[in-house]
Amino acid sequence: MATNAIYIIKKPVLTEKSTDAMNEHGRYTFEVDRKATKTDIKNAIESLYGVQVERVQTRTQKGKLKRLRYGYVREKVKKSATVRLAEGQSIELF
Amino acid sequence: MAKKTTEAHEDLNIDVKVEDSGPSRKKLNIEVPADVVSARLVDSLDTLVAEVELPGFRKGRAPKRLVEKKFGSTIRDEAKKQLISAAYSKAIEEKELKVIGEPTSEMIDKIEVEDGKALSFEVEVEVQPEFEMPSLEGIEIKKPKFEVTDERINEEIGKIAINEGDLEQRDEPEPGDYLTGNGVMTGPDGTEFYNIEGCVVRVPLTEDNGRGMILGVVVDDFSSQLGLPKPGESVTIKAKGPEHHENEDLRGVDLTVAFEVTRVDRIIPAEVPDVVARYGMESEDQLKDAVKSRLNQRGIVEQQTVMRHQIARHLLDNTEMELPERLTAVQAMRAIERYRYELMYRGVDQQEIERRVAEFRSSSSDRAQRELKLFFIINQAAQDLKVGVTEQEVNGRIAQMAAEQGQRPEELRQHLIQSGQAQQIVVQIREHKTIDAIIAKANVEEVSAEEFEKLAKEQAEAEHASA
Repeated sequence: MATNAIYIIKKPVLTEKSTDAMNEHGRYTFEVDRKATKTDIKNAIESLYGVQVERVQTRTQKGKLKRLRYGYVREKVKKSATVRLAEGQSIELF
Repeated sequence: MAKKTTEAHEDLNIDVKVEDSGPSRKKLNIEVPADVVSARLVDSLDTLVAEVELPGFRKGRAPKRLVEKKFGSTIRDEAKKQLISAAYSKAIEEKELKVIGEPTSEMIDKIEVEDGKALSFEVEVEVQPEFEMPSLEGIEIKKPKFEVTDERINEEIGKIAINEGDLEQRDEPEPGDYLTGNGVMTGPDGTEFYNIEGCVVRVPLTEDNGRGMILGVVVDDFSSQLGLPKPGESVTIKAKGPEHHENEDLRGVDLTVAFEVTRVDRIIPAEVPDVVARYGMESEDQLKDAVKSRLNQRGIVEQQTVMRHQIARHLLDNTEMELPERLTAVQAMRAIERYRYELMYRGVDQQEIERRVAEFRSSSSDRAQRELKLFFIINQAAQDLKVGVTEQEVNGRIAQMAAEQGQRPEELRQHLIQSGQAQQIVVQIREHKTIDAIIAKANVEEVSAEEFEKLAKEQAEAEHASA
């Protein structure tokens, strides 16, 4: 799925856990397009931030079932990716 | 001549320069050093970091840089307000300035607080001028007795009948009729000052000697300029901007008012039996009794006013003070509002108030300066005599004024709060209480009703002469 990097990388995930991983291990977490492959993500991060990605780990969260007054709906599937950068490299997320 | 002093305050570590910018005005040039600014920004950020709850983070766990990115401008604004307020208070305290009213500054909104940069700003303040207070003990004044005559009662009923009268639409105006329309006031270069839909103008009567008022400006040859325009017709009035107008741009300039008449009305006074019925009274005698009671109350106010005027005159005559040649917009506004509320308190009807206020705007510099001088003297006397104002006193005064104006007290109170003029009432009560405290120490001589009339006449003539 080779497409524009800005469509692959939706936004950085900023939580306590992700910022700890970022500060302590240089691992950055992003919410990505659910159809993006690890290679797509690697290329997208490299082109967007000008860094070298060493490893990509992805996980997909199933959408939760929500009860609304007119029945049940399933939230969208979320895919997030944690990337490890080459030694000495970093991304300014905030 | 400008006089400058520089001093560094070790505790707050600010640098203040005070410069004279005219009589009773000072310009403060305040500089807050870069380290103080940085420390305040860090403090503000730390406080916010400890309090803020961002999605994905527990309370107080969000990274500083993230909080700064999200709330940076709010933090800087907040720090700016705190720094300016603290530095200003410190400067006033250190320089022992007796500030009157709010400081003014054109640059405060534009300045930005930045980490590692000093914060410099200028404010102008009006200060109590230095002068020697005359003795407040044993001032000789006359207290007039008063009586409510049948003639005054009938005159008052006549005024009520006009207030309760009906409007009759006319095709052609005559002197004394009211013209309603659209009034546009412009300056010599075409600048539009006012554009009022529903502007009301009264066609001058013979006894007005041709004088009239439009959009708060008195015009001497108003009658000849206005003529007798019918609905649909337009007239152009040329006037000179009053020297003490609240809007400084208007002062002394050639004004043009384009007035398009949309309707002409005449007030047909109500019949006395109708007034009796509308006021829910049983007979004309009952109305007369009510009017007499109101006039008695007004008489007490007039009596106090006459005595207050004597005190004011004494204080003015016995105080030397350097005053600004030209009143600033704030001073002019304060003097006008002060005069307006004084007239309201004295029970003068709304139309007469507007007329007198318009005349006040065009009055001589002497009168405006005298009012300003009196304001300073009474302010000082209030401080010396430790005069305070309670909320009950403010409410009581509003109720009294509302009764005189035929309004509901809550309505007037709400209006004063919304228009930000409630402070004027506090100032007025403070002034009256201060002068009353001086009256309590004065040597008061009671005089007859005739003397009262004479004094009132003298006072009116003095006011007229100064106007």
